Amino acid sequence: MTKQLDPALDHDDYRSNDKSDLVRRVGVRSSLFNVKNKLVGYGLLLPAAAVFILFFYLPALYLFYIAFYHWSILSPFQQFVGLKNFRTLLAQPLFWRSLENSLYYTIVMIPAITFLSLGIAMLLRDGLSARRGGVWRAAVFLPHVTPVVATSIIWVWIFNPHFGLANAVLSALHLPQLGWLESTTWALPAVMIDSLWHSLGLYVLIFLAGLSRVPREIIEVASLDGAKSPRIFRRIIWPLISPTTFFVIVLASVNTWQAFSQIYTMTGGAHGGAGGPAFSTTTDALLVFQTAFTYFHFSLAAAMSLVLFLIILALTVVQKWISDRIVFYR
Amino acid sequence: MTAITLEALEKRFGGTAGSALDGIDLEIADGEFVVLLGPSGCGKSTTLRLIAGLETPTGGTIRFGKSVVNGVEGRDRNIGMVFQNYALYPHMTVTDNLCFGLKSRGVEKGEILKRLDEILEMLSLGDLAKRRPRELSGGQRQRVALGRALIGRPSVFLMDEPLSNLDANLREQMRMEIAKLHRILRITTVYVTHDQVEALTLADRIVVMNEGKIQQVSSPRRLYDEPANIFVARFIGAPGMNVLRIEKDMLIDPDSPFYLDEQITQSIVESTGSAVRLGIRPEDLALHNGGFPLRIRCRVVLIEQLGTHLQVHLEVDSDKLSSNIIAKLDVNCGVAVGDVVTLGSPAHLIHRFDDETELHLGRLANKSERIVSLHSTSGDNSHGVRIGEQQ
Amino acid sequence: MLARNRFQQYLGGSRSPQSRYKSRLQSVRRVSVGFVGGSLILSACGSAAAAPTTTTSASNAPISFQLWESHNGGPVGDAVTALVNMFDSSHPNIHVSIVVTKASSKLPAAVAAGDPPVLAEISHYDGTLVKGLALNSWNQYMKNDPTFSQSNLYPSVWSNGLVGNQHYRLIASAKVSEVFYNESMFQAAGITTPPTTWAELASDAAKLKSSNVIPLGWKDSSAHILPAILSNGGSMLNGSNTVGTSVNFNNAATTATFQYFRNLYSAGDLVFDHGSTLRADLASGHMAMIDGTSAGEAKVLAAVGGKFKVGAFVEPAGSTGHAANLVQGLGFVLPKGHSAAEDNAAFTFVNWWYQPAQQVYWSEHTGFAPMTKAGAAAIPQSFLSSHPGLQQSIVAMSSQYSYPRPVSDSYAQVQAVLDSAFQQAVTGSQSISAALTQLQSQGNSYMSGASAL
Repeated sequence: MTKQLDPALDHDDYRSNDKSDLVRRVGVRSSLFNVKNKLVGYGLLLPAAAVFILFFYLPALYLFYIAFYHWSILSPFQQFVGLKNFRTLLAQPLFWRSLENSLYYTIVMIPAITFLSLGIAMLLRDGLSARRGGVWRAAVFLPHVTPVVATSIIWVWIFNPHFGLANAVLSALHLPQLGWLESTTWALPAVMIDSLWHSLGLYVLIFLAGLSRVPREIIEVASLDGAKSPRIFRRIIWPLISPTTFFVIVLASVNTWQAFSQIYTMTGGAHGGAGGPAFSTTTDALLVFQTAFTYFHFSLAAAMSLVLFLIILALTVVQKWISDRIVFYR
Repeated sequence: MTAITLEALEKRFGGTAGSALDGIDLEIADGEFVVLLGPSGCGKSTTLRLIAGLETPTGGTIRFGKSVVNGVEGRDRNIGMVFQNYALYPHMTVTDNLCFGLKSRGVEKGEILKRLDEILEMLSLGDLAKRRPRELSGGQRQRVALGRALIGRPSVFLMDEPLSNLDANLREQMRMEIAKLHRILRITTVYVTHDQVEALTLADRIVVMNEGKIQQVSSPRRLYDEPANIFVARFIGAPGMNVLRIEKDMLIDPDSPFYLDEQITQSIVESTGSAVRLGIRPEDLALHNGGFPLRIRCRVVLIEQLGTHLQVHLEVDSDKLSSNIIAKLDVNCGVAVGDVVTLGSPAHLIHRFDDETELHLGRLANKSERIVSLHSTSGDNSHGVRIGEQQ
Repeated sequence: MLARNRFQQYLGGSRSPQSRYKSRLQSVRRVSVGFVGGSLILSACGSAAAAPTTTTSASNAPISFQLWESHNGGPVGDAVTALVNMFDSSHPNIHVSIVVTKASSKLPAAVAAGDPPVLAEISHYDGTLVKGLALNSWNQYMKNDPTFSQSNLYPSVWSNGLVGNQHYRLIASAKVSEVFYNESMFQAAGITTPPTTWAELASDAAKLKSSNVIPLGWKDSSAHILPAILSNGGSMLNGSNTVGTSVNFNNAATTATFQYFRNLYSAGDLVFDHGSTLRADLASGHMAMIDGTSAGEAKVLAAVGGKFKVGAFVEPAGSTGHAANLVQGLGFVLPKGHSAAEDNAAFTFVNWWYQPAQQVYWSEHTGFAPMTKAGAAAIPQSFLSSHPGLQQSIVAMSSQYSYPRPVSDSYAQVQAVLDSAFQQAVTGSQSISAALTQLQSQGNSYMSGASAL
């Protein structure tokens, strides 16, 4: 092979006709190309990464710092207090109450989200023709694209304990009427109903995607195999969509632990009283917000966030551990 | 074992005007192996799914033996079915895949194990019993699918393009296995494919379908020899039959690329219609060196070297019509792209079709004449042997 | 420009060491504030950094400054805008521009970032800012301005925002608690005058009750509980309504108040709800009386839409023989860090705000009580008779038993637990004594600095 074969290589410092040298040179050039390619890649990542680092990761790290300080927004000199913030928290009944509320909310919401959205997804998948199915899918998804705050206000009216729709329905069914948002027992369930209504669409969509990956033939073959619908669901569909289910559960746990807007709005919101009545809807997320932005106890709020973070982390680890054992990935 | 009868079977899918199946009548004898053959969208799979009970007919009846099964759920029709993509339960082991149906039907445990052993043995799956589908090769998966369909001892065995996902070698091997299984088990089998080699090799009878209608039902041999219409003629064979539409005027035109001897011309001119359709299989065409009653002048467009023979694509040499012909010629025939050559064929190998109904009208001459013409062309080195091969 | 100045300071520019320290301090704050804003999962506080308000004021150039306030449209927002426009056109040397924002929660961040506005209207809880030495006292400006008259302000207005002897927050929009009622229902029930004692209120409620009508709707918020407690002889802090580091709720006055409401609730004469729900229920004829503030009158009248005549009365007298009330509302504060000229201009605006013409405009257009006696006197009687809520609010403002809320962020937390205790005790999910014991200990723990709120 001669250098004339490749005019691109034909320049002054090309001193050898040796083939291996040529190979090496081409190699160098392609690795240069790779480096350039990578640089372009990172360059394109940079704006998004900068936003995330500046407004998400750094503040999140900073939170660890202020959780151990007596941190006042107006003072440049912060005093290290060790675990005092955490001790204060643990001594406050309200903090425990908020954890209790968060736990209650999550424990009800996750199964409700999972099973309701799966059920709706199954209905949408099986029971409807393609065209009408589209209308129904849109109808189910629509609440999810509405603003939480605006629709929560509508739900406040629905839950009006004296003259609202919810109680009218209960009364039509000859069931006892409830105090809903004015009742310490029913306020959080009322918020749950709103949240479910608002968020189900997303989870239904995720389940529909998961179900669409279960080949129709497998279900047909199972039915020819003599299995009736419940058995097909339990033995075939349920295991096959287990990765989707796991994803929904993780997403739902994170979302419910962090639930804020609908609780804030439905229980008083901007007009005060959020988290009521009598702290019955004060979840951990809400308490973090109030502590930081209503009462300006930033370090306490940071400590609370940290506890919330640890809880979510632990939950996710547990979920991962479980999923490694029961989720079937194809 | 069960005979299957389809009467005026019709299936329309909502919304679209056309129907997927348009009055299918078919009788499948007990223990018969019937192949539904046709291009995609012809309704063969729909027919199969109707037999399986996976779809509900919009008209007509399906009988298993004497009983109408229209309203019977698929699971209660005692069917084994194999799908193109195997449709194995991906999260279950081979054993669980095989036993799922028996367990669903509440078969007693000892019986399940007995049948499982039988099937594993029969399909040589013993070593794979603990594996999951993703750990199996395509052929192994297909065997598991076959086993799963057979373990329930079905009275009807349905297969929907079971070999399409396999590579060529494996496909041939599995074809043999399926044929063997059928010889042993004699289960009434309906097999859907678009691959005529599978159809020709496996079927007792082939049902050729197109646009929701049955085109022809017959043995593989008759399908080749006596295609019922132009569609079947063109569909069967690799490649299919050349069908030429010749205006009557052209027969008397001195510049015409077609030459037919007088006797044939006479019979064509006497027939009704303004044109005639003649069909000749690619393997029945030879380079003309005299004596053929039909001769066609054409130009070589493309030559494909297939080893055993050349597959030559030609264009009829005429300004008045554009017609393509494929001929299988001897590897030593010496044609080149651009050559103008004359192809010919003996009369008994030329099929005639009605110009309007496209139905098969017979051949230009009967078999006894064939011997004469064979003799008359005995010097044609590109042809004589081939005819003997094919017939 | 600003950034370059700071940079020069770091390089050892011409500024004094003191100012260099100050600017570094601001930088530290700025960074901290950015972090903490994002740190907390629920970052409600958006960017606090509005355009810098720093203006270099040559002696005779017109001074312009920002006023941060939080009324986003509506009659109140419109009234603020109109008044500011009036001020600007009558004061060629001062230009005030309104920035509508969540001033109360954003001001600390703005101070920390070194970019506070010259003037802001914030809620009661300015304790953080006072403690952080972020606010100027209004005292010297009030003293230096001969046109300002303390005696013209109602005492409850004057003492609002008073810490030590310094006035850090001059109230800008005063409101008091009062009860709106359906006059037609009162007439139908044979009630000729609104109740003047809690006992009368209870007996009137019983008369108003029917299958379709709930006599009394109450807000579930402590601003509406404290007047009743005070009228029964209780106090907001231990022994005082203004100064103190502990609370005293576990006493006879609070017990009696809770018991009173508990009786009404268990008789079905009272329900709790949010303000908007209460207004709708009153308007639809399902409620006879609803609790609210003078500031809500416009909304109540709008909800009722003239379907019936709406009356109002201030929360009535308790066992002490007199009624009591809370005067609350947003107040003007003067963040540090601006020139004396700017601060003077800000006070000019505040003083103008208190003049009778503006007070009349303000009260007539918003339903908020006037803050000066002269302002109240200047509202025509005809207007008052068609706006009973405003009339009643003037009654409350002039009462010696109307108090401002204690200036302490801790007190906001005390009120949150008071709400809870009240709700629990009245609805019967806790005994009164248990609720008060818990309230007492939690309230004191907040007042002493521990907090989980």
